[in-house]
Amino acid sequence: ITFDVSDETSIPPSKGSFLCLPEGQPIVRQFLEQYYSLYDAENRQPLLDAYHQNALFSLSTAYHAGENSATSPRLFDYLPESRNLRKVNGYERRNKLLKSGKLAIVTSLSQLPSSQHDPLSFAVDLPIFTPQLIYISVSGLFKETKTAKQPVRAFNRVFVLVPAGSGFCIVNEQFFVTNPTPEQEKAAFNVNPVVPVQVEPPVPSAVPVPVALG
Amino acid sequence: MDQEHKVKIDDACRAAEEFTNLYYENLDRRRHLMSKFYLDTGVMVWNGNGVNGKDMIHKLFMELPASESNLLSVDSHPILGKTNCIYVTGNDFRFLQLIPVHLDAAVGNQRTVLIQAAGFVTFQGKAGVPFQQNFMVTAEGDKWKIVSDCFRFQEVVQMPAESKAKF
Repeated sequence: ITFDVSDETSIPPSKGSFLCLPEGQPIVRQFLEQYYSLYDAENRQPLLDAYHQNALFSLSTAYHAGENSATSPRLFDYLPESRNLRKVNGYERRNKLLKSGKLAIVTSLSQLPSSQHDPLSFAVDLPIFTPQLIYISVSGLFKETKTAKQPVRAFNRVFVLVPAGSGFCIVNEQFFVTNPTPEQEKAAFNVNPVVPVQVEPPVPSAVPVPVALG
Repeated sequence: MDQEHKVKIDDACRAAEEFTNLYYENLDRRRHLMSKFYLDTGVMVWNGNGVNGKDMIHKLFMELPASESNLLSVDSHPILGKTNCIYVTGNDFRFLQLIPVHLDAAVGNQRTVLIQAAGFVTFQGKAGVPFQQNFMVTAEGDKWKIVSDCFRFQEVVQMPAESKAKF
């Protein structure tokens, strides 16, 4: 005989994306495609149009627990701009590292290493989607295209969008950069699916089967 | 930048430091109190699993194994301008609305802050893993409450090819 005290704990399997409202999906997808095609381009200046006049942006970075510049790829291109409040003290310094206004933001983004993002690595969550405000959280991998050895980095980025004209603009953005885990590094830019996916054998047919693209 | 913005930026930093200290301490030591951090209509997304409302959030937390969190990075800003005054209502995602509460004098000083955290967490029975977490918190009376909480392990996301095509 035991007591009826449930102690069932488990870690729910991760899902690639959460959308609070399925209708938000095309807008989020379009935003991310546009944003990253501009961000990964040679010149990031066209991103000026993506930001609100008074938008706020900050970057933060940290080595993994127990690691440092001697044990893992250096984060030196990000550390001087990192607004990690656990390391950066004092109002003046914190204020300086918070970029305010589209020009300051795009200038700051333009100084970050050239990049190519791996869209297949993206996990995208949309916890708030309303006519007044959209909150997007994106995690994934990119590589630094012009840095020696083209290191892969992991990122987590938050975009807060508000309506502007016929579209949206960014009012807040938070960008965290760190090194990938060994598993992520292996999976980055891997054209083969990481997970074996059951593929239906092709059905012989004279008529092409329409494919829904999300 | 005007003085009002400076105050809000300073406020957001202080709120983020106090909030993250309390949040992870409670997550690791007093899990049953976690739902108190959230608005009644708060949203929690845990590795892509989304739940809405205090009760569901409580259930999600209570079903997770015991944890040990180590915070390595925190950053925070205020949401400025008109969107500073927001409040999420409704108890179903379909009816989520943001209402500009500056219309209501009683909560005219409503402040909303974004927090981005990163660290390392060990759940009982699982190897430790780096994580990143994003919060939107808003002042409800004299308390900061979570509007939205997005947690992700830093991992290779294993999703079926069909949903990969979405983004």
